Amino acid sequence: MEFVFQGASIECDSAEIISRDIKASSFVNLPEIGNCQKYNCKRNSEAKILEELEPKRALYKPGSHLDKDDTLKSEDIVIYINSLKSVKKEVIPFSHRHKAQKTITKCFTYAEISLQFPNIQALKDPRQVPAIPDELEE
Amino acid sequence: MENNIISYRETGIDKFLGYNNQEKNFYRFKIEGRNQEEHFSITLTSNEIDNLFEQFRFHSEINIIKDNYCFTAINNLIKKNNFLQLSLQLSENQITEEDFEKELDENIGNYLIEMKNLVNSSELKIISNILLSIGKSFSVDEVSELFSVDLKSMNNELLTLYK
Repeated sequence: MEFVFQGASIECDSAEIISRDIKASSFVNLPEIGNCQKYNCKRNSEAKILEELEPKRALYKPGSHLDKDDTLKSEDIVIYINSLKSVKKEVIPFSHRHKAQKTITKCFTYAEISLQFPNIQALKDPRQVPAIPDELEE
Repeated sequence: MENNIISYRETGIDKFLGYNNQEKNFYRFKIEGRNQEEHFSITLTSNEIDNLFEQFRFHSEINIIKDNYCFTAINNLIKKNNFLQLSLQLSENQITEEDFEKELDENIGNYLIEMKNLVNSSELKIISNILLSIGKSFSVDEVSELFSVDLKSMNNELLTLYK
């Protein structure tokens, strides 16, 4: 199943990540997970579960999608990989004449949509998380 | 009328007198200027004074939290910069994969950003105020990384605010 709304997330033991631009962002310590490398995937990004978690329950965010072949599709995706190894990227033909970077993770992976496709604003998910508002009410 | 802060001398105040009437539980402050027209007095009850001090304490606590978040953001930017430099060295083949892992493992304090849970939604408002002062738009994951706030906890707080 495919998920496109802001805040949708997957958790798995192996994932296939495809994006026009995959870049390392930082090295963070997530509560209940441990030390993870954070990657930002910009422009036309996808994250698909190849291997489910064992046992199959969300470790980081309750409500994450956990089934095999569950896919996130969006403009930007943020990924946390519980490994010290940096990911190996390869360039593949992707959409139309555009190429993309692809990587397959082999450890705990958490991916979340940080920016959904702009052309689906009309189909807003009622549970979606808004961006930081300009001014929070006092 | 503008509410600019002016120094003691600029006000022309010569005397500041405080009277305490314990029987009737109020305090009177008399402020005398150089001229008779500049004299005035304020009467406050002890409850009002307590409230004022409570507000001063509240604002000073807020400022301490705000300062802490600013220092955290600077520290995290330094750590992020260190990590990106290391990643760049790896991608340019200046170091091997083993060197990369060894450096992360041995000098973890230089690179690791610790994520913590938000204590309450008022902290989110403080973060929002800092971001407003910076004057740029940030995504939720950028804010989480900058201020060491766990992404999950931040999403939960945002959902609670927008319910």
